[in-house]
Amino acid sequence: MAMFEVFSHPELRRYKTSVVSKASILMLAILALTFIPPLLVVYRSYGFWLREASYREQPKVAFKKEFIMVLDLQNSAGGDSIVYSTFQQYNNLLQSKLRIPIIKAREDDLNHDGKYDRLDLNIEVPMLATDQVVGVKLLLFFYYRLRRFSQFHMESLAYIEHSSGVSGSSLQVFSDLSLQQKQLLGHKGTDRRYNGSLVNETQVYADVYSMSTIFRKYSERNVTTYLQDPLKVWSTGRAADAPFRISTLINYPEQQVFYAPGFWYLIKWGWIQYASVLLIFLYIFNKVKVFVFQHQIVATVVAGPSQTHVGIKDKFS
Amino acid sequence: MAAIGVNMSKRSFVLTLTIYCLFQTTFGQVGLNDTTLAPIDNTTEALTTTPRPTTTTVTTTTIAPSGSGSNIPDSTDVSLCPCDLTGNGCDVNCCCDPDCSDADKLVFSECLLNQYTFDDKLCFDRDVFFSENGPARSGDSGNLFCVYFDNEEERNYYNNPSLITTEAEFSSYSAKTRTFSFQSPADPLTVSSFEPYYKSGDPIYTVFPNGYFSYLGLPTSMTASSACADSNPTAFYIDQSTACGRFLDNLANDCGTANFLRASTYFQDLRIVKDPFLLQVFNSTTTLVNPLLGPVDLTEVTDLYNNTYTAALQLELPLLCHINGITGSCSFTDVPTSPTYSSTTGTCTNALIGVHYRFETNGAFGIDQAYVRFTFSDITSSSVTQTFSTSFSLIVSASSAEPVLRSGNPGYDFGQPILAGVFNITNDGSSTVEEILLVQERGQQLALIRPSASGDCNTADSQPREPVLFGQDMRTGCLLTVNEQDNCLRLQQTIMSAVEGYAIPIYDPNFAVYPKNYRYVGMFGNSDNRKTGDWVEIFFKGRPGNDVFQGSECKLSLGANIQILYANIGALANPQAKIIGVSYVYDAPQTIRYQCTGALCQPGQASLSRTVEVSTSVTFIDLSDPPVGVEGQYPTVPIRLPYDFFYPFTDAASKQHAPSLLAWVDKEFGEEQYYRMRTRSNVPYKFKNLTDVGVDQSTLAQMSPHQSASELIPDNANEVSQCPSQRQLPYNRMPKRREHAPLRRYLPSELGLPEMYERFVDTGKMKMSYNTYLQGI
Repeated sequence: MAMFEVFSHPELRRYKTSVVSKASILMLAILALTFIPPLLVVYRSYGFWLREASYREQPKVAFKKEFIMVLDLQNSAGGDSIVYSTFQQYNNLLQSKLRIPIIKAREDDLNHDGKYDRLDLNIEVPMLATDQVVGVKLLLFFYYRLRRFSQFHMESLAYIEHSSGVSGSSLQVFSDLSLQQKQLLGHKGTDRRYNGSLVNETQVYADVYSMSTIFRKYSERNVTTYLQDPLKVWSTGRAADAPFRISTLINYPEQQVFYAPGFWYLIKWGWIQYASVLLIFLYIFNKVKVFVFQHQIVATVVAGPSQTHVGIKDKFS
Repeated sequence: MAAIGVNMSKRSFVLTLTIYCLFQTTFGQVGLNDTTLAPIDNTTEALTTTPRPTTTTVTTTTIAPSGSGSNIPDSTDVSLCPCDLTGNGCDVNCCCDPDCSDADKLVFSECLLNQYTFDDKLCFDRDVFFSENGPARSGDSGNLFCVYFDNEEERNYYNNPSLITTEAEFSSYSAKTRTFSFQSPADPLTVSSFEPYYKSGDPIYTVFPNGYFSYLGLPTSMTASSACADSNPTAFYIDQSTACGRFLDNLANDCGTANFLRASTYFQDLRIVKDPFLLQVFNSTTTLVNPLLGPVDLTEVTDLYNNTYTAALQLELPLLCHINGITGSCSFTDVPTSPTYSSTTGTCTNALIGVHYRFETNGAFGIDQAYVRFTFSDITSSSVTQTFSTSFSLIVSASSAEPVLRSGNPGYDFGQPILAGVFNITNDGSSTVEEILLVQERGQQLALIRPSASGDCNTADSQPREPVLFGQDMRTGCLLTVNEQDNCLRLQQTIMSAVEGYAIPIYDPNFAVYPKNYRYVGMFGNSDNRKTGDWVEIFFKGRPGNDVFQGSECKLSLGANIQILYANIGALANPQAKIIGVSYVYDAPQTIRYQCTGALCQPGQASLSRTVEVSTSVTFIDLSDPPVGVEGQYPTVPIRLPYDFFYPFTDAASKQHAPSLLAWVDKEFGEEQYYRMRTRSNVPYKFKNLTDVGVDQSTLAQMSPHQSASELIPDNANEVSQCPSQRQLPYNRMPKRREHAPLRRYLPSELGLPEMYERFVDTGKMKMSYNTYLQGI
């Protein structure tokens, strides 16, 4: 008569031994071999602790309405310059070279998400008929803020420099304001290390306002911004009565920010790696244990539901 | 738009809306009106556009418009046709403009956008539309979650804020949304409050006969150009030196008229304010109580210019003149009123090129005396560099010694000149006095030749040389013209004096050595010249002797490299550099062969000469033992774990941006900061490491595998610790090694207990069984 399996269930079999015995020592050894080697395997294959991670965020940027502008002129004596800045003392120091421009700044929030997406800055410098502009230095000050992990605030710079062999009538610049990190940001807390002002406006000395001083302080920072791959258009041929125009379009794009993950993030990724290797070890050593105890390689007392079936393989073997 | 809801699935729209709202509140970044920039730190605080409250009392009846305004209902689109910008006229391409006739609309190339999707998350499927050619455009939901029915319609519309009717309301609004503006803060000069006395870094005030006051100017160049910016103030108690350019349009015209070329501009008709409190109380009725002087009675001070609280700048004689590169006393003693131009020579005579202000101060009592010293020169070009400097000194009483500038205390500071002098012993009969004679001024004691504009070597004594500054590797050179007829010995001596800068001792051909010239260098930046133990002798390695002839040609050493070895001593956190040896290493002699190419190389031509470059350079070599990162005591796990195994539990993980220390040095193990390879006698070394520490590859090949590596380590442990590959590693990548205490003795590892028992029995002191021996141990 043909038979078919109508039902099956596993049986539990207990192996008993004294505390100090070969079997207990073997079990201890197997336990150690099951749980410690995965840790070593995972650690030795590198990347166990996730020491850095990144996320993307659009920063909240605002033009601080502060800038320093230097126009290099060419004249018969060699060179001269025209300056203007929003720092009063800077203008006081260079009174003889000062020329007041018309400044138009607009920051657009294109997608209405509460963060500005670009700056449209136009500077129109009145010019004498004899002035020949051959170079532009423009230093813009921004307020920069990241908020997703650490609350990061800083004052940052964008620097535009262009010089040309022929005198020009306008300079147009199109660029992105990019974040540059020499160091990972934190994963929490408020970070205002670089929120200080790069130009101390209460000081009266020329040294404070010098671009070299500002850049020296700025380059000491671990987090800075810069204009990435600026596209510049230098137009030549200025009419005698026309002003010199600088127009810049600076986008504030989404940035990739690197940060040091927090404790639980580290544990989470470490645990996942450990557990995945541990599963293999558990499986292998379970097979080993079943083999060892089933074949009585170490002496144990077997207690099971059915004493008469000792030695018969069940489905776990 | 009938397609909306057509493909709506059977899921409850309430659930959909709930999920959507949840989605927006959880993941939505910002609300629509979140345009504020708060919080802004006070340092970058935006200037609010708050107007100052005015206190005008208006007695007339106020007139205000009373007509009704437009009524703007909530949650409606208020602009039905935004492109209609011309009243009573048709706007091109504006299809919704009622002023446009149908004939006008025919010529429109496109219709400007006049329909807006107010909520683009409504549920419909794009596939329902095959194409859209109507004036309206449907949006695209496209998301898993969409809104079937929006019962909170107002969130798609802006709030309509109430009008501002009072100034207080205006201020509260503008304070809520702080933003940056172009409005300038007040000028720092006008807001400065006058302190009772100057502090270091404060600008120095001057007063003019007309009663105005200002800062004492120290012209300097700014980034914009090298031209002088005259308004830069002078800082109190900070010695400064600036140089900047003056540009003249026409030398002949401007020589006599340019005020910046005149000395009187810089000291006449101005007086220095001794203490700034003068400016605080002058013209006010309150009497000042100075924290030092007590109540100051300024009632007799009626003139801000001429009083005892101001000091005139006194002229320091002699006047200096810079002629042919040498600065000396002028032939005149009166300050020339203005430079004079001589059209025959094209020279502007006695133009001012240098101003030096010197102040004698008396602490909190301010400036006691002010002096000025001028340097003049004749200029021939239309631009000239002017130098300005200030120096401050406390009032010196006659008995106190001259202040001495140190190059460090005690270790040399970077960028400070090296001290050097000549060792000298004098015997006055009863006692001998040893000292180092500092024959030259500071900065010239150890110096390199400075090339002229033409590049010639100028070895004249008066010619200033370029000082060797601590820690700064440098190189200079100059050109020496070698003719056919030149004497090689004389050439070599010229080179040597250009390199060393002082008289070379006469070569002794019998012993083939130079006698010592007892040149010494200070070990420390503050070495006392009477404490001769703090000075180290200069060696001259390979100084060429008399054998400079090679046939008819010269074999010359064309320069030297000054090697200065120093080491940091003291605490790791406060290293002090100590010079431990100095040597001039002369270049290997090379044959100077006459080489000439071209048609002008005929004998007898003046061009039959060759220029060779004489070079001197300085190299600073740091011999400090590098500190080694010693891992702390935790964790005391018997297995050796990698150093970053417990990374998330250490400070490094949580304080990523904290400045990392160079090394942690446990006080108890303070002596273990250095690699001490020789004590690690039983640790087998990898071959790779051995080559790093200077063991030859051939030695390794012969080495038996059981040979202890320590036998191969050279004896000079210092050199071992100088292993360059280890020094260049940053701290966190340094190999972490558990160091053995150098003084502790370890048993050899091959020595086991049985062997020790056998040795004990062999000594014959006592007889005992192995078990008893074990218990005894």
